[in-house]
Amino acid sequence: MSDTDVIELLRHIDPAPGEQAPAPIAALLERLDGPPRPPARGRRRRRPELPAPAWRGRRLVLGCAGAATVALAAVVLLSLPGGGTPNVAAAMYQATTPGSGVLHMNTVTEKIVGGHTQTTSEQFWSEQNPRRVRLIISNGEETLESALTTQPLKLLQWSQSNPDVIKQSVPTGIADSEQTGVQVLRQLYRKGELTLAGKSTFDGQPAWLLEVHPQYTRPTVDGKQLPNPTVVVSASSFVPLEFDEDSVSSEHGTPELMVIRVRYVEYEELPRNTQDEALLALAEHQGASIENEG
Amino acid sequence: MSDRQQFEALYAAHAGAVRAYAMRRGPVTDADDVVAEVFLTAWRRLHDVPVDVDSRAWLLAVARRVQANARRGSSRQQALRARLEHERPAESADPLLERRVIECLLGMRERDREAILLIAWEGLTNREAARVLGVRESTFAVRVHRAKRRLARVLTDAGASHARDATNLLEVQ
Repeated sequence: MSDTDVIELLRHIDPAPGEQAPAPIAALLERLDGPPRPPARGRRRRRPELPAPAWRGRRLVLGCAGAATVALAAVVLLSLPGGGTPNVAAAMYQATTPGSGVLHMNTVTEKIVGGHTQTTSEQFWSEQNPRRVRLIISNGEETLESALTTQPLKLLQWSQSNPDVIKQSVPTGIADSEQTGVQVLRQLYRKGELTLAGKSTFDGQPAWLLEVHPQYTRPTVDGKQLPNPTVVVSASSFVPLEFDEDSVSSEHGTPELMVIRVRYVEYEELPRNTQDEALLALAEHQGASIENEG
Repeated sequence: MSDRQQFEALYAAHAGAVRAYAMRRGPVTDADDVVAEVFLTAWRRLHDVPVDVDSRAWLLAVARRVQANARRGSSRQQALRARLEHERPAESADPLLERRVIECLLGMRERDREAILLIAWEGLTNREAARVLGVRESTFAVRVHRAKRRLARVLTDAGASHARDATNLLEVQ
C-alpha cells in the first residue's frame, strides 16, 4: 500500500472538500479596530499572540510565597543548563514534588481497543502528614467515591449504584504513598527512563515531549514492535498534560493494539486551609447510612 | 499597497482555505466565527504575516489556536467524529474500508492525525504543515510517517480480511 493510496483515501473522506466560500469581507471590515500593530522587532514571530487560553483550568498554586520562590528558582535552574535546552524531565519532577498543600488532580483516561473507547474520569485530592486521600472515579455508568484517613486509619466508600450505604472499614496494607500516574512518572525519572524527545504543542500551547525508555522490550502487535510511551509536559509549568502508550490487549482473545491516553485536565496544589481540606472528606450523601465492614 | 488593500488581498486568497480548515475540525456553524477571529488577528498582526507562500500556514496556525482555545481535546475528537461520520458529502464506494480508516484516524494520537490531515486535506507541504503545528520539519516527518504506517496497516489488513464481518474487522485495528 503506497503513501499515495493513503493520502487519496483520506482525501476521499474529506468532510469539506476544496475551499469553502467565505462570508463577504464587508462585515469583517466593520470590525477592524484601529490600524495594525507595528511589526515585531528583534526576532521573527512565527506565531501570533492570542489571549490567554480560557479552556485550561490548570494552575499551580503553591501553598506559600516561600515555597513558590524555591520552586520557581529550582525550575529556572533546572530549565537552563548551560542556557540551552531545558532539562524537562527534571523540571517535571520538581514541579510535581508534593508540597504542604492539598494536591488536586483531574484526569481523563481513554482506553481504545478495536475502535472502541472506554473513558474513565478521576478526581483526586491528597494531603500528606497526616496522609489523607479522596478519590472520585467514574466511567459514565458507575461512580465510586472513597476517602482515606490515616489518623485514625479509616476508609469510607460510596457508590452511585448503592447510594443509601456508606461502607466504613479499617484497611490493611496501606502503602506509604499513593501510586498515581504522576508518581509513576516520577519513578521513571528517578530510574533514568525519561528523556526529552523534542518540542511539541498541546491544544495549541507550547509543550515538551518526553519519551519513556522502559528497561523491558516493548511488545509487538502484528509483528511490529510498539513505540515507546510518551509524556507531554507543559512548557510553562512543566506539569504533565498527557500520557500516551500503545500496548497490547487480549481481552477479545487475540492480542490487539490497545491505546492508553491519560489527559491531565488539572494538576494543582491548593492552599492548606479549611475550605480546601474539606475536599478531602467524603461528600455528604443525604439519607445514606454508614455500614461497618471487617 | 495600503494595509487595507493588503488585508483584503489576504482574505481573498486564503479565507476559503481557513473556512475549510475550520469546517473539517469543528461544527459547520462555528466556521465563520473562526474565519472572522483568524482574520481579525491577522489584521492586528498584519505586519507579521508572511507575504510569501507561508501566509496560509500562518493563518492556519492561528485557526488551530482559535479552535484549540474554544474546545478541549475530547470535544475536538468528537467534532471530528461527527464530521466524518455524518456530514461527509461523498457516497462511499467501500463503506467498510472507510469505516476502518475513520476509526484508525480517531484512534491516532492527535498530533499524528493532524499532521497527516494537513497534508491530505489542506494540501500543505511538509514545510508548511510543520509551520502550522510549530514543530521542526524532521519532527513533522516522523509524525506523518507514523500516521501513514498505521493507516497502511489498516488498508493491508482490509485486503487480507475482506471476508470477515464488520465487527471483526474493526476489532483488529
